[in-house]
Amino acid sequence: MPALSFLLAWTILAAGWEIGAITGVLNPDILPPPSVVIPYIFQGPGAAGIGSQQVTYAEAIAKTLARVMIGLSLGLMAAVPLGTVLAVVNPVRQLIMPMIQTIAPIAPVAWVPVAIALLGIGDQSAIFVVFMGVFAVMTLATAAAIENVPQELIKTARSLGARGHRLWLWVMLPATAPSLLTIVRVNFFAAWMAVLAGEMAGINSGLGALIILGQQQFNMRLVMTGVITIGVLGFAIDR
Amino acid sequence: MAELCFEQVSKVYAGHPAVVDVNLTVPSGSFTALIGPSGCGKTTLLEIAAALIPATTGRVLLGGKPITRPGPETAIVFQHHNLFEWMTVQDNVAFGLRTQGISRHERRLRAGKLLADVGLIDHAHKLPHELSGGMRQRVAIARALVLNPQVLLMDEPFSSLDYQTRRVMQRYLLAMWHHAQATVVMVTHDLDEAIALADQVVLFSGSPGCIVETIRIPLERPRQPEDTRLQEIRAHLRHHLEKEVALGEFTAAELAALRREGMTADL
Repeated sequence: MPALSFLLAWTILAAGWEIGAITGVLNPDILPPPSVVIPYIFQGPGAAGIGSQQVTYAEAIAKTLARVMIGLSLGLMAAVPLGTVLAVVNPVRQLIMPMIQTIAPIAPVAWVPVAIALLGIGDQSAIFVVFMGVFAVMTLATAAAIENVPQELIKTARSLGARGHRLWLWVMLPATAPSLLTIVRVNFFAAWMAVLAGEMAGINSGLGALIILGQQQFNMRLVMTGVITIGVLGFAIDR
Repeated sequence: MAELCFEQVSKVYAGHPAVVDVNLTVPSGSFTALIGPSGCGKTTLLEIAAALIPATTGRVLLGGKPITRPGPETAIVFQHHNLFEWMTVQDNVAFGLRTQGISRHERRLRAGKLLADVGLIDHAHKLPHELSGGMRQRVAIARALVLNPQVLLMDEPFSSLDYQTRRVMQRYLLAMWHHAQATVVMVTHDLDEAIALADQVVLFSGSPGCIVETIRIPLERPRQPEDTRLQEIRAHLRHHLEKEVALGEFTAAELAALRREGMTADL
């Protein structure tokens, strides 16, 4: 049933766009209609760009996805231990929390110049931007998730003999697991946005760069291909 | 079974005294109810007895030995069931056995037997959220009893249940108590609950909490609420509680005004 409603929603969106193009309400040169873009996607958009900046469609997708996944995984691997320490060790919290709180609101794209200067153009930079985009927020959310475990639940577990690593493994981890899953899910979107912004702002490969190349060559079919791909992939992965 | 003894126990939270100089002996195998206004430190006392928080001064002895860390001799049940939502009923009940390093096979056996004893065996493989409020609290009690504790500490265990369920749960607790042979200390706000269950009722006065009176109820259980001896005790307890609540609620000036109006003649 939900699948059907999504299909319907997409059909209406595509139909509206198509009608807009036919009636001239939407300029088909700027917004090429689905009847143009969809065959273009299936035929496989040709490589765009020149020389080392050349981007193929499949490569762009693979690169962008890999960057998101690696950056998100690294972010999670750093955030969970650090968030845990912040929640538990008060002196560390006093010292580190203000730093994390300062990093958290920085837009990931602001890290692009830093990343390129530090790591050059390429995967490392993109992963760095994703990492910086999610790490601080995930750390704060992990600390909050641990603090939200009810004191009485912990006391109950302790009175039943759980302590040390067993208390963490058997009670704290499962009690925070639902929050941690939500954190990953929410931050997947942040990572997805971060990598695209990074790719558009100078890391010249991936889906974001594909769109910029389409813009530079006034190849609006390529731009729309990129936009649709971003939407569909983000939607599919979140399922 | 062993006697539980509070010796001059005080607790200070950030300069603010919560309980002051509590001396209380709970005879082995008896049932004691703690009654008093909110915030008089009754919960604090239970948590000190369970070694979940340290006393600022004084100590709690079990069978003559000081309690210093949470152990299988004492178990605690809170108002909220605090079941582990991700575990089945059986795994919840077996949790105490698991922390003691008892084998999976024996855990299953002992938890299963306990669940059968308390009439919950049909729910052994359900998750807590699939149970009713009363059942969840029964599972919480079973989980506390799995290590055969000498002392069972209960902090308003039934106060989140509706009236009828609460009455049923009290009878159920009496049966469990006979079976488990534990020394029970229960914090409650429900006077009827206290006089229906307890061998002694300990009256607390407001913040900082201290004991003002200990009343013994040497009557057989199950007790009839209509019993005139119980009614007398009940009236006495009610008077004390209302006075304490009034003292906590109103300033001296307000109380004087109320007294002039004749509103607090009995306080």
